[in-house]
Amino acid sequence: MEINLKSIGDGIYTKNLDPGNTIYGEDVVETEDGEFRQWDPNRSKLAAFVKKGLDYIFEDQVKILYLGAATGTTVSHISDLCPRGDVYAVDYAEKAILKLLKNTRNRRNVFPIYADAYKPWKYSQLVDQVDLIYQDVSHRKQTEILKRNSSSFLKDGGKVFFMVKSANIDVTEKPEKVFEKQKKKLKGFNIIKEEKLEPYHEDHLAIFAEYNK
Amino acid sequence: MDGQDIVEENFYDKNVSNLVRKNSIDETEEEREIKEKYSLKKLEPEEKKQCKQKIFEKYIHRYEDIKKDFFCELSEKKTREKLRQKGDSIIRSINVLNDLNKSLGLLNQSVEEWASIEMEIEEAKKEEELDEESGSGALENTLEELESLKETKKSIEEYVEMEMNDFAPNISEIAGEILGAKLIKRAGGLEKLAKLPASTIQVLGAEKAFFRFKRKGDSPPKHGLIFEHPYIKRTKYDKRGKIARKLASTIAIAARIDYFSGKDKYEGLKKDLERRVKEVRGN
Ligand SMILES: C[S@@+](CC[C@H](N)C(=O)[O-])C[C@H]1O[C@@H](n2cnc3c(N)ncnc32)[C@H](O)[C@@H]1O
Repeated sequence: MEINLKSIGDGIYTKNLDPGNTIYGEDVVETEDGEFRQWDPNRSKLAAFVKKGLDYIFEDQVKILYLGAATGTTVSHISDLCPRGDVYAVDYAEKAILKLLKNTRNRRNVFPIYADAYKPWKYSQLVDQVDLIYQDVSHRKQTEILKRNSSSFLKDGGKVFFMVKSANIDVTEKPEKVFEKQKKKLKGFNIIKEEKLEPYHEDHLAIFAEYNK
Repeated sequence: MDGQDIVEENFYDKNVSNLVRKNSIDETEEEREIKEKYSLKKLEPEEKKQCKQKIFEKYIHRYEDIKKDFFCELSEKKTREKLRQKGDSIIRSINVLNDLNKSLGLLNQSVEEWASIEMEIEEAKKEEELDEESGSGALENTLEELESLKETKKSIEEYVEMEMNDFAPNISEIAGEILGAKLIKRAGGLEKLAKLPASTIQVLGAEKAFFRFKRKGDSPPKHGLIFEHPYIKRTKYDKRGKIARKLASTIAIAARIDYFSGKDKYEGLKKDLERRVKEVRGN
């Protein structure tokens, strides 16, 4: 049983790596194993994925490239889950980065990067090879972004979490159609598990896959 | 690669490769120093191992801190740079808007005069029942151009509104996007506005009146640009000072939130201002 992740009541909780501080007003509980923060599936797509049956657990020392970090809601929980890992957190919205910097100031395993994920060469000098890419970007070309970053940074056999929001890609098309089309484009990725994130997030598909170069 | 990329490459090369690429503690200065100090070479292999482990434990934290600090500094620096650019772009569009307003004021007046005279001529022609082709179309063209200038003005305003809501959401909420942008322009940027005291913000844009007051002993200006704000415009003259003071101090707070914290709209601010306005107006 992973010590950094707990089920308490209906909720899931992660062990706070920055005790005394919260990020988005989440619930905090003291346990015999330390302080735990509630991981809200309505706020975090990864929490929703876990709620819907994902049983993958981060290794403690995992190196992660996180694309679309925003203000750090999900980043903070991933940071909780791998205290000895590295989370390179990319976003291109200035205000989001400023908040992310504040929110993760005391988290030594989070490294904020202000850059456009569509142009991985702009941060290639900052990031080494990673074991995992987590992507949740509100961008029309999100599939292309995943492919570019995977080929630049992801090790062979590395894993990806890909949160697809159909409305970002094509509002006029039915979500199912958009998902099918994007999945076809994912050559080199073996899908291990996929799940729609209703009722937590409408018209979102979460994909967990392995990458083979 | 464009110029920007090359600049960044060099920047990274200098700053990053020294620090970040060295993932192994073996390569750091500290370790080399310590090696010398403890003359690792003289130690037995087992001792060597233990010593190395100690060094590693002692310095891995240092290394991680440096790395963390480095990423934070770099990201903050680049973000601030970009925000400054965005601020500059807003300031420039406000300059254009000001010029456009002045030109439109002038043009409107002279074109109107021209149009009214043309109309009189037309009337006269009609009375004399002359049926000749009138004018060269110059007036019509001018009127069209004038309309298109007004459209241009609208589109610049829309641009400023959109940018301001992203760039300075709190100032936009309190002062309105256009007035907010004018204040940023007057101050010389968001950073400068965020560092001005409320009393200065209150008279920002009233520099001329302020000068008169200094020189000729006129009454001091109560408010500058913020006079445009509906809260002041729609308040009786004798109560404007109080509202201007409150408005200026609220804008000062909004500017600080926008510059320092990057927070989205902060609800309490507007409510507090509205309460004060009601109080002063006494209804
Ligand atoms: C839905 S939010 C991510 C929320 C976050 N993953 C969480 O769960 O806490 C999407 C983010 O993607 C970012 N984004 C969109 N396009 C991007 C790009 N090309 N490069 C970097 N970030 C991008 C946006 O700025 C936004 O912050």
